[in-house]
Amino acid sequence: MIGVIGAGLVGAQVVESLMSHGQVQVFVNDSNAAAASRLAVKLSVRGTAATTKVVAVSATAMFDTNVVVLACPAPHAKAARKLLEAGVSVVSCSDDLDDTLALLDLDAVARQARQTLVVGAAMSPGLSGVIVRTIAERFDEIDEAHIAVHGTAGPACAQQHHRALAGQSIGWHDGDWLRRPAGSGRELCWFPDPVGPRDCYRAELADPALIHHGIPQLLRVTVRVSANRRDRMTARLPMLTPPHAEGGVGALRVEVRGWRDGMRHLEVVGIADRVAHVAGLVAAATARRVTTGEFASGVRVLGDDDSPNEGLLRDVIADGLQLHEFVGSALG
Amino acid sequence: MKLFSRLLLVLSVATAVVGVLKFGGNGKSRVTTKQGGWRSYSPPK
Repeated sequence: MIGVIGAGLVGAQVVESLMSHGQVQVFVNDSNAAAASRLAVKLSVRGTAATTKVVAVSATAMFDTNVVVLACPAPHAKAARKLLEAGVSVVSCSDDLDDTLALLDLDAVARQARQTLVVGAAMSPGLSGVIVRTIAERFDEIDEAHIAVHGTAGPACAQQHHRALAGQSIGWHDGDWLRRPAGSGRELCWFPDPVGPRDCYRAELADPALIHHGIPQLLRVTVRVSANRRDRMTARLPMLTPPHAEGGVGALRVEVRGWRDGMRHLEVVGIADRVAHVAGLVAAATARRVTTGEFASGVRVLGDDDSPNEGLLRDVIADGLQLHEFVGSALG
Repeated sequence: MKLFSRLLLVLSVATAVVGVLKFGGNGKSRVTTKQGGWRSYSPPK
């Protein structure tokens, strides 16, 4: 049985995806009990199979499940530790840097409990790592990965985006962590249509830490997030207006550099879709594969050697996610 | 009258600056198809 903590946009997408793949019963919990109940009622009615059931439960009922997807706002580390100690595997969608580093530290706890903790199973981090690993097949050797993200999921994600532009970014650069102020390092990144070109900046995001953890042979890993002037100017202030209920169409752009046939080679793959939709599909596919035992015990990040990356990518593509690759250049 | 004309001048300069900042980067004809484009990607099986 699978449980989902967080009945927001990502949590709802996780539950919906699990149900569409024949999950018989899904437990849902949220700090707002009414939101969890609403989601349970809404999705139970929509379920096609007569046996499918979504149940709003208390937090303690999550200890009776096999896998719990944490789709609530960060931090997740404390909840993940409790669940692992109780013998429950965990899939975390957290994209907060400090939180993901704390989650990575739970490896010994997860191994001792013989459970799996998947860190950063969302769009970025998560799908970004899977794409880097998949594109690597086209190279003899990869040494750089540069991620760019546009858009947000629900209000909690928008607040995280706001905080990320006020912090300190990290990037893996030739064997050392490069720290720069968030909001610096403008780069025009071209996302798949309909998003198109966006100015992107460094931000305090978890992708470099997790991709470096999963693919340690990379020499350089960076992440940038799209932002406008207002985002950057007000980043160090409290959010002046409440965030949108949903950020609309977002995008992910993954650029991988390396060597092929003795020459430098570059590949760019991206997606443009609702961020909550993508994050939910990735988290649900990960949870399904945790239940079938395809992840070893301990801490795992998507894109690492031991994760079923190809299967995960196949799952999300089968669920309707469309990947694009950038081809041609003015120099070509 | 002089004050009014100065105010008008300041306002028109400010409007021009805001206009350039807001719409200056939105031209779509600057990128030609030669510079590449996106196509569907299927991962290797």
